Amino acid sequence: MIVVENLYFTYGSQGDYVLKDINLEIGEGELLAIMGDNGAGKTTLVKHFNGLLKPTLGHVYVDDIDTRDVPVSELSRKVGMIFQYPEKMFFSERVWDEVAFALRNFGYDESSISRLVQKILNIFWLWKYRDSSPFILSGGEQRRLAIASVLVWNPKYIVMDEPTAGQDAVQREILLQIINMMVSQGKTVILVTHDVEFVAEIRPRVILMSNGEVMYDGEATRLFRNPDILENAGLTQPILFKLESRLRNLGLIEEGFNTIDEAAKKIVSLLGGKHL
Amino acid sequence: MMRNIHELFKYESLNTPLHNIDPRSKLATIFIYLVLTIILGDITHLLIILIIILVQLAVGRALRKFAKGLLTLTPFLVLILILNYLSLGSVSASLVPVFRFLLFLAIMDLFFLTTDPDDFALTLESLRLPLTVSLSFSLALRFIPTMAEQVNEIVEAQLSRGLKLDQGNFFARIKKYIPILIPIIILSIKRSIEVAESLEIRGVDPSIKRVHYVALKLSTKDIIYFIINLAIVVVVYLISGYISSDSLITLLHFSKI
Ligand SMILES: Nc1ncnc2c1ncn2[C@@H]1O[C@H](COP(=O)(O)OP(=O)(O)OP(=O)(O)O)[C@@H](O)[C@H]1O
Ligand SMILES: [Mg+2]
Repeated sequence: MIVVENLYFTYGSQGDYVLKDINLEIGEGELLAIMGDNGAGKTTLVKHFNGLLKPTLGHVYVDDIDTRDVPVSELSRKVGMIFQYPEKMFFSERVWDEVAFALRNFGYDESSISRLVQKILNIFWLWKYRDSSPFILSGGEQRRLAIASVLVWNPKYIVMDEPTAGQDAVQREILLQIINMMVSQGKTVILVTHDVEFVAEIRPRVILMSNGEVMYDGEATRLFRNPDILENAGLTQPILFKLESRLRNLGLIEEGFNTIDEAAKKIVSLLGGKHL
Repeated sequence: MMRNIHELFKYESLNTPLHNIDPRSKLATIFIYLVLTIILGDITHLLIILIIILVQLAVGRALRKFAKGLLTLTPFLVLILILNYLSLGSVSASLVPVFRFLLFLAIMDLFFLTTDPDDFALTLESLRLPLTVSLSFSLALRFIPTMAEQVNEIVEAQLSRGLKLDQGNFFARIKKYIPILIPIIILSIKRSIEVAESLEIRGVDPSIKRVHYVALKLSTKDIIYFIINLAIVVVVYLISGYISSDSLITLLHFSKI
């Protein structure tokens, strides 16, 4: 469990806090999206989870360990962090070495390293590239490689900062599968994103931030039915919920719908079941 | 420490008297201070100059950044001190190069922390330097903060993959910088290609004479600023011929009796 207690954080010393009195509990196996506008403090918050940043005031605990007491290299074993545009950090000559890098840092023996690297490269459809340079891969493959190079050490918590940034529809679909896979393995997955459509597809618990404060913490569906809160945090409703709002305002529906299929059925029934 | 290094070079657009001085006047001023720093060989005099520069940094609200920069460079300063002590054998003599270095930093900060990179480019052009030189220089300056932020990001990403920078012997440590250096080099190359392209798109052509939308204009206060500093430099220089640390110590000695 990750527990954030009265967290305040400032980069400078002037006291203008980038994070203000954040309180959170993130349970094991939970799927969570942290949303909010540019500069809301999302990245700053998640960097506290593996100890890259330490609280100015308050505490962050990962499995009851105060992040102030242990180095990043130790917390990182538990908390895998996948940054925005993670392909920037590549430096190896071979895909294989890029994935093995963290395992070597964590002191795994060579036979475990080859076993783990082989396994993860297969899962991510990258095994055929094992001897290629990471730099010749396509954008989507590079993103997958970056994710693989973190998942390889099997961290219990996984943080992804803007995983969909700069990815096409196919890669988003693959990303959804990866997230579902991690959740089914019982991992705690924390997504940082502006992408309302992406969040609408997975419907996790959402923490909405604005100006360093938590504005909302709860179900995605309930949040998406509340355009005012969303707008205050610089977001708009996903298209499905926009449609729902319009139909409701026109007095055509009373109950909402949660999926595209439900929406389609509703519309067909409004049309009297007729084909146009 | 390394993680916040970019903050130290970042120009902040503030409204202080120093920010409002014409960059050419500031450039001339730091030039005479630099010359004086090289000429003076006595801690007392260097100290006087340092104090004067620090006061100006304070006026330009840049003192804190200077201090932070100093903190980062402390090991380096100690190294200079030790090396000089080993070769000169006297603490006070080895302090001179340390103070020179300090002053050099302070003087550079006085200019760069209070001068907008754009104005700096205009200054270079007004000195009749070719556009390629002035543009490259000011672009390089502009990219220091972005570059430093990139360094920061890459260091954080590799730390999150278990990289421990402060372990192992000297060579092992140097090797640990490879995962940081390679991404930075790659990013810089990408960035420079992008910049070159965007300059071309915007029609930058060194062979054409440019006119500027914003022109630099010297006002009375810029001239006064320079003259005051010139006067200070001249006075300190003249004093330095008469009073040295040795004579000050003698003076103190006498006053005790
Ligand atoms: N290294 C840094 N030094 C100083 N200020 C910073 C630093 N990193 C971020 N900030 C500031 O902290 C605030 C929050 O930034 P943060 O990156 O956490 O926002 P974010 O919610 O992740 O935004 P985005 O959606 O743009 O990624 C911003 O005002 C930003 O300018
Ligand atoms: Mg961010």
